[in-house]
Amino acid sequence: MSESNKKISLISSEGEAFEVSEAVAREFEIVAHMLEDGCSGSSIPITTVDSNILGKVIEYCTKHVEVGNVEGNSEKAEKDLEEFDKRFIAVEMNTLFSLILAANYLNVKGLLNIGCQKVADTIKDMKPEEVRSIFNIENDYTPAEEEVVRKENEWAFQP
Amino acid sequence: MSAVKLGTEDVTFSDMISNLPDDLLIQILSLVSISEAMNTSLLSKRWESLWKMMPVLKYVEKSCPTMTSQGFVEFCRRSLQLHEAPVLKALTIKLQLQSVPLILSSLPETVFQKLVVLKLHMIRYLVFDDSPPRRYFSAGKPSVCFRSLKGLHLRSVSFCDEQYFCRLISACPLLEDVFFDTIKNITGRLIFTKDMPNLVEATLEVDPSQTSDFLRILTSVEFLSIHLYANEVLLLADKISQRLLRLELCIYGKISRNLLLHLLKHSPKLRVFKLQEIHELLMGPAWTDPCQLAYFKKKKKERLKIKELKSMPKASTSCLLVTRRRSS
Repeated sequence: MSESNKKISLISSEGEAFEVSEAVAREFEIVAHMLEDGCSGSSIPITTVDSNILGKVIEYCTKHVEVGNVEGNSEKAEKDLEEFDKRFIAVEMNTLFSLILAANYLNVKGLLNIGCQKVADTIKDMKPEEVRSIFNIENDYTPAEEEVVRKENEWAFQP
Repeated sequence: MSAVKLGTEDVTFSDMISNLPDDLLIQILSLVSISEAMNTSLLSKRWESLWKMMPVLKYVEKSCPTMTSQGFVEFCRRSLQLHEAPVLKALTIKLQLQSVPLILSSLPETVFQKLVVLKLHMIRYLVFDDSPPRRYFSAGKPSVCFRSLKGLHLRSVSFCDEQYFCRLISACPLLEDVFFDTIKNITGRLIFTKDMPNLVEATLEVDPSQTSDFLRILTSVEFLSIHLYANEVLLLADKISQRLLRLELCIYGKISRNLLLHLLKHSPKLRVFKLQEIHELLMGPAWTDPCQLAYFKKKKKERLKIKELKSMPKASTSCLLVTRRRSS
């Protein structure tokens, strides 16, 4: 148990320190690799992630480590965790994409998966115009170019 | 990447999704249906070719309820023609019970060049190519060839004719991994034009009356999970066991000790051996404990034989024989 009691400071891009247990820090695969490579310092700078997002990623990892440590009653725990994930990822778009990029950079697979799934669920059953307005995507096709792409898809969809 | 701050501050509502790296966008596209992924090409130029670079494509007829069965199969063919990634790691096609035949040779030529794993599920009529089945025992030379295919998974697939099955197998010269579960409509003798020198892993959950035909082509296999009638074990020992590293054997009926001894003697490289006997033929077999190295499910009286097995001379000194008593 002594190992999991060890504390590590994660430093955000603003220089703010977040003290977490080693078990939580290890949920960041990038940190786990650093620790395995003998990077023994107790503070690790995460220069590309700001405090707001880093705090959220730590919240996610802490919850998952906590639940992972509880033995027994796994079905209920799993359901709770699912609920937690659902609430956790119900954020506005900018935060969602910041979380995805941070999870990708820090290599937190679970968070990356639920983030991508959230985006995928948003795209599902939407017309292109709707997807564009949800994500603020600028349509940079000329009408002629767009028509070419549309024709190609139609050819595939409607034989 | 390092210069970009991944934060929420000072960010007005901008198009963040299009700024995600390609691999993340492709990961997101892999979570929606193929038709929805294709539709994203209309969003903007950034998105035009993204779906075409997806390394894994899944065509599930149920996810396209507006198409007719014929339309869906044609949609598979045409959209695969648009796909541009140099390698297609996996292609899954899952049709519905009442679907039209799927003709493999009508898939675009690029698929035959770049596909690595083919998974077919719920295909009511699978046809390999247009040339009609020959009358006598010959598979005929396959007209097309999956030049990169290493994995072939067939689940609930029914062939119009067993020769199509043989042609499909014969058209995959690099096959390393096969998984066959509930393949229907193969009743006659199977004749394959080639054996499969690269095949190292095979899982066959097919009718044990057909497995002896498969044994003839599995000569190089190292990992094998197979259902057999007890009397076919001899063929297994003689034909293919020399290279086996891991064997999961599900026997219908009783296997004699001598036969088992014969098998072990002929398996010099065997490291893991899992055996299950099914005494009631109607009951489907089920592996109850996958982590056991060897699992002997026998009636009470026969338990002693395990001891005898342990003392049997084995060709492989590294073969572990582990048994566990079931607490019941």
